[in-house]
Amino acid sequence: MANNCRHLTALWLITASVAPLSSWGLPLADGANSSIPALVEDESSPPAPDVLQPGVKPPDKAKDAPQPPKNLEPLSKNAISVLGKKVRGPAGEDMGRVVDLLLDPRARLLAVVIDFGGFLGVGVRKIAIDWRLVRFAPDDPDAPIALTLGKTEIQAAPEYKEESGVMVGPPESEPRATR
Amino acid sequence: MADDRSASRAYVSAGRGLDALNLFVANVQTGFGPFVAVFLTSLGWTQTAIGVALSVGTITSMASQVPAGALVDATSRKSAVALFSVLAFAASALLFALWPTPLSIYLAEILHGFSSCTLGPAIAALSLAIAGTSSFGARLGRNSCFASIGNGLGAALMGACGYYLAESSVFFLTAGLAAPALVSLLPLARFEAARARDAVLRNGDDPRALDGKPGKRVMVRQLLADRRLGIFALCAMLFTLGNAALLPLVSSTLTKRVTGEANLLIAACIVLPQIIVAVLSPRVGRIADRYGHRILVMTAFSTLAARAFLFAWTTQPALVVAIQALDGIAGACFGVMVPLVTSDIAGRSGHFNLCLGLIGFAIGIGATISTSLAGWAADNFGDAAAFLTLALVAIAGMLLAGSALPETRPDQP
Repeated sequence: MANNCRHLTALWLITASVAPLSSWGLPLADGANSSIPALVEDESSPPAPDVLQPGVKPPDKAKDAPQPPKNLEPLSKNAISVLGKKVRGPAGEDMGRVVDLLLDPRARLLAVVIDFGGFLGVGVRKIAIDWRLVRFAPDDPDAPIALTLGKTEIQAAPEYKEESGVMVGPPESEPRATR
Repeated sequence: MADDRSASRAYVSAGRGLDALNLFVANVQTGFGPFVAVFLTSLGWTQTAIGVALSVGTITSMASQVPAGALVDATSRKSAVALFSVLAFAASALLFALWPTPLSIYLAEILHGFSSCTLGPAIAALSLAIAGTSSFGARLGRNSCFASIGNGLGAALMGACGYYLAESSVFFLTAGLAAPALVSLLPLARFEAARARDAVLRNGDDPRALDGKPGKRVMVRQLLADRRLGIFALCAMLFTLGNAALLPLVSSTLTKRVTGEANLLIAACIVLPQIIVAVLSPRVGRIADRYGHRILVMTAFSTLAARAFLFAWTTQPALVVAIQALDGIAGACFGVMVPLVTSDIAGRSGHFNLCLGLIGFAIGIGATISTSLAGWAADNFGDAAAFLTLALVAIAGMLLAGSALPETRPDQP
């Protein structure tokens, strides 16, 4: 009994404070897994009109049902989904999985957060790694992201936290302000 | 008499069924737990969404501990409860593997959360019916032995599955292992049916009194007023509070320090205590039946405290694995003592499983606080401080058990 609870609870406490109830409807990252039709339906299903427009008479359903946007374009075949994908090291070793991407206010990629280490989920840590250390491998759909650092170079990094985040930067020899 | 011989055969096969049930159920349980987060991550779930799914499970199991115990008390067919619990595990695992949409994952977490609350009491009640009060300790020791073999094998098997095959294979394996668990329920169901028939034939009594002698049912309120129940619940809470965060915390220090395959060392940290529990718990059960129960509660606390202190002193990888042996000792004592002391306190009140649910609830609270307490201490004062905090909790538990918990073992007839 205790075994079940011990790891769930940390996440539970984090979530309880971070996630308002509204996030229950959006549990997946966009397009991260296209094999989940229920969610796609959710997003395209008509929202309740009187919730969106308070005070406005509900429009005739058949006529005014929301149409798909007119300006739909085919998505590039090269679009790559990264959340949950494997991360490889310089020698192709398994380094964990992508759990988040961090952007700066100008929407430039700052860092990738990976789930690192552990056995059956025990001892897993999240580590943020500078995006400059990422080698993009678009040809491998299972592991589109690879790192130029190996396990030994990142394993001692402290856990990534939203409030007090640190990330693994490039090695000291490289100039820091290359961005 | 031929009847006697067939009766004793029924006992033996029921006992074997119980062994197998413990073995396979522990196997089945291994796939859930922290691995769920890994699995959902691999599906591209965000961390927030994973947190929601896991908390659905946690809240369900916290909320259903006591009602599930009452349910098991109320039914005369504990094996049926076990059957439905195992089926629910299998369904839950299949939902994970085949249909990982948010809604079905929530459903799976709810199914799993509830059925893990019904299964434990059902197994404990069946054990009590088969072994009787006088050798209940020995039976629980045997249960714990087979359960930890199952845990150890399950962790190794599923770790290999997750490593070499797809993540979802862990859940297929989990669902598959429910089949032998169901088969092992057959002799238990037969045993129970025979017991119920006997009881009715003998004195037309309520077959609910599984041991044939109807105990006088005590009011729940009376039982709750028993000071020993509150103190033992507090002990169970403190033990889990000190214990639950130790393995994750020390595993995470291993991933920081070990060059190479840290995951193998973590696997060793998980499997080694299970081996020790398997070896020790039958002995623990016999010691309990012979020398008393309080001493083993104290042993659980003192080995827990020693382990936490040692982790504060060193996180040298080889030593960490060695220190994990203490987890086996504490685990064997605690695992056997929870149902045993609870049954001492509940006596023949007919509310054994309700009390077990209460203790389970206390354990859940302890586990909830443990990870956040240790996480907080580690973030602010470092890993060693977190280990020391958990050691102090264990010492507090030891003091509580030493000063306030009386010997609960009933006088031997």
